[in-house]
Amino acid sequence: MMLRLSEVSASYGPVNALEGVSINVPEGTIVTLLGANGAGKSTVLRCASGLLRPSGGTVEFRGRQIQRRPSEAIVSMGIAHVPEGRELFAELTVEENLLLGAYSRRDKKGVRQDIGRMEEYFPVLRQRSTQAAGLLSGGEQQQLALARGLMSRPRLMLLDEPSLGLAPLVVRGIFEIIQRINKEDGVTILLVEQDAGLALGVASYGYVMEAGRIALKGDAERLRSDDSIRRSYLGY
Amino acid sequence: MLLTPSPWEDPSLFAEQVIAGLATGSIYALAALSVVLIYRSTSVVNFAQGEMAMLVTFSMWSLTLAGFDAWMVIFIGLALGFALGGFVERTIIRPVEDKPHLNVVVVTLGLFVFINSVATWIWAQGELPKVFPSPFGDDSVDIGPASVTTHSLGILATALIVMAFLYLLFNKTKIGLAMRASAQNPTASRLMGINVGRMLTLGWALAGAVGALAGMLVAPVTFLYPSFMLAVLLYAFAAAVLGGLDSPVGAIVGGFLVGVMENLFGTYTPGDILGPEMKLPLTLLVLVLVLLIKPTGLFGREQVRRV
Amino acid sequence: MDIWLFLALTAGCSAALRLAPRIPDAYRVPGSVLVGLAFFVAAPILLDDFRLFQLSRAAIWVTVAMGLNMLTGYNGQISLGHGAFVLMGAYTSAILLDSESQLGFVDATPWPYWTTIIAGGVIAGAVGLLLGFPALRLSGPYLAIATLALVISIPSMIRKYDELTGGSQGLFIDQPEAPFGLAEHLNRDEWLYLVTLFVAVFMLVVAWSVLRGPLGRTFVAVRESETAATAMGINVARTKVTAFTISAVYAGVAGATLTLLLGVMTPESVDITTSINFLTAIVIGGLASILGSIIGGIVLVLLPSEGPELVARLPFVSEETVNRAPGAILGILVIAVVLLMPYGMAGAYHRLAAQRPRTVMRATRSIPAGARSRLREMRENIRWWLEDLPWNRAKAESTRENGP
Repeated sequence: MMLRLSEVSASYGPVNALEGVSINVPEGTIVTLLGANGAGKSTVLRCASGLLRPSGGTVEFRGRQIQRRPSEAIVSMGIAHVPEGRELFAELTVEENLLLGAYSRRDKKGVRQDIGRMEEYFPVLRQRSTQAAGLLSGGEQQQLALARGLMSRPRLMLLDEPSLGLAPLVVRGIFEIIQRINKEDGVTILLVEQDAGLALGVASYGYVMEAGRIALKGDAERLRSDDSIRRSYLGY
Repeated sequence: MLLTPSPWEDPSLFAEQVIAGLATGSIYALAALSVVLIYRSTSVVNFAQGEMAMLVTFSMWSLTLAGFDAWMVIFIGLALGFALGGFVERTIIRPVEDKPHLNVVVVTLGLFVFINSVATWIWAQGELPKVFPSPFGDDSVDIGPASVTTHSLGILATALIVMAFLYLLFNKTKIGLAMRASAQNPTASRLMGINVGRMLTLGWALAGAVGALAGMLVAPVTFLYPSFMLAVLLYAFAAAVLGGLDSPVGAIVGGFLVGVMENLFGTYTPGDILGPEMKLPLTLLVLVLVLLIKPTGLFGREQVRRV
Repeated sequence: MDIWLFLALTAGCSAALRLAPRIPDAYRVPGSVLVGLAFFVAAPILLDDFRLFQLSRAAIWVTVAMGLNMLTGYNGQISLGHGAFVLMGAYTSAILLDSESQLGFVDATPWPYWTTIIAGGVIAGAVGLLLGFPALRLSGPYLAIATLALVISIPSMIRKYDELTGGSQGLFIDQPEAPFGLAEHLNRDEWLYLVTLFVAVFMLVVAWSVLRGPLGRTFVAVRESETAATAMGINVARTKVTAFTISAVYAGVAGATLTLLLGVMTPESVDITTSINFLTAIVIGGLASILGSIIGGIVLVLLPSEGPELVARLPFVSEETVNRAPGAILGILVIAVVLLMPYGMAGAYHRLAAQRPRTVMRATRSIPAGARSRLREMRENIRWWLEDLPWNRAKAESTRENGP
């Protein structure tokens, strides 16, 4: 099991954000986390990457407990988190952002090769290589954020709402790349999404969250055909 | 009415003043570099920079009394400045880094007062000012119409070397990139695997070393007393801002500009309306005018903001 | 009465009314304000002349602090140079009150003193309005340095144009006495104290009404995000210039009052250190808070003169140390306050006031528990740090690559 959350609870000050959340992400799969705004999906990712310390429960990555480790250590273990809002280094160039993605690596030649690979996956990055990241359009920024995450050659990627604010055509492209990363590079993905239809199209398993708890879980096929999901999240 | 002859009438006076201005300017440039260093790596302006440099310089002065020679003292001073900068960041700056920005400013102001007082207590009991030796010797060299001390040339060389070092550090090294990233976006930096705290400490430590270097090279010129870095630091801040707070090249250019302006305004202002005592306000006026045209300084990078 | 007793009583009674359990909520804030005010009005009876003089200066600094807080705390523009506006207001008042006319077109009779306070505000405000526009271009440290440049330059200019300003020697004025029959009961110092108190209270009330209205909210909106504010239809430029102008008016009014209090005005009366300390004062007192401005002004007067002495009274501190390095104690105090109360003293107070008394008791009891978890954290951090050392990390990586 690549990532396992067991009975995790977490809070932001006096506000409880997660309560008894248990999630399993098997190696090599795409698992999606669905739910309305404020359900706690981003919080789950934050607990996994060390940005937030859970108040209870455990988070295991490849068998090792990581819930109390600082982010910088967790990331070096092989987890890449592409957060909500992307959190790019707006004043640094596209290339510098990519280099920073590979910060925890030591093989300079491999890093150079990977930059080339990223520019192949996302051609727009090559064009804008020396531009400040903050000047890119929304879709380009999301591509850069994904590429930056990939630069660390992670075992597990945590993606937070990659479709947010993007045009449908661009989103389709992003999701194609997500599938490609998963199949070709074997990267396990935990995907948080509001667009349930899109997410269930690429994932093999899904969890639905409500008010900080898991309300529903199951194979993506089953969830897609579930009536309540269809009505609440897919709109038909 | 101009009391002094215009540059066309007496070009050698003009040249002399410009060269003298470049000499003092290199002092400001060196001090400005430490200001830029801290700002670039931690997004903070450290008002206690000068006092920390003064503390190290005085400590090194005590060592010179014990017989250490000028070069040894420079290297020990660099190490001490490095340690002091890192220590200050780790102990009193770290707790306020994630609080409202002004809190850090006030902490540095408090630090300023503290260090100044402690230094006065320890070293100012004897007679002031003290003499601090220059590692570059006491000779003078003639450049055109003006005579320049070897010490001034030494400062100039040092400033340029430090500038090159900082430029390479920030733009060509992995750790320099990590420092810049940590200053801009600590959260994202942590997600890259960067230990943000360590980067900030490193930034302050380096700035402490450069500041100490500036202090030890200024002291031979201005002599050593507890407030000797005050005037220098004022001009250093002006120079750093003029050149752009995040640009080492800007600090050098700014330093020279400020030094030359200070000298020229002191020499050439008409006595009735303005006068040599207005050289500071006039220099600052030029600074403000430049800022109005380029709000982030001559070489500063524009703030990129995309909501 | 000892000044500390006085301040403790004022703060204590005021806070008691605000926090005590059985008072109807509607009376809490007005009650605490009135009680505090009553103490300050009664000060001439309770305190000696020297302390009264200190409180007069504090009242003036409170006025400056309130203006600066509106600019920096509520609106987010940093100014290190408000001492310049104080000087402008002060000199306006001094020139108008001076019996030998310094201006060719104004006749030599001194103006009534209360009009000079208004004039000081107007002149400083006009300059603030002028400077507010270029200030729009700058932000953060660049704005701070530009305003610092202002306050550094003003004394030189004052010294230079000495026909108008009396140069380095400054201007002397006749200080006002208490009016009508009150002169029998109040000596001049006491009257001046009441004048400064009145000015401070008046300006605070004006600030309170401005800040709780739409303008106040606009200030904060612009501080939080100029882009979002523009999207909401706020004219950001006009808001920022308004904030600048208002804060300059406050400084000018305070300056004019300062002239009255001191009886003389020189270019050194408000120096660079004081100007920078206005910022320190509002940070320590509390940003974006009226109470914070009040505390800041008082702290600004009392901390430098009384702080080290107060620390010397502590059992483990030697008097000799304090006498030789008073600045060190001052610096430590400032740093300590900022570290322990990151939102200022007013911030700490407001947090307390927002809780119910029982919660406060529970909070104090949980301190040892907090300390224990902090120690546990430190132990873990040391363990992770050891693991992160290059040779240990290499060992861990190789076991990871080669499988467990």
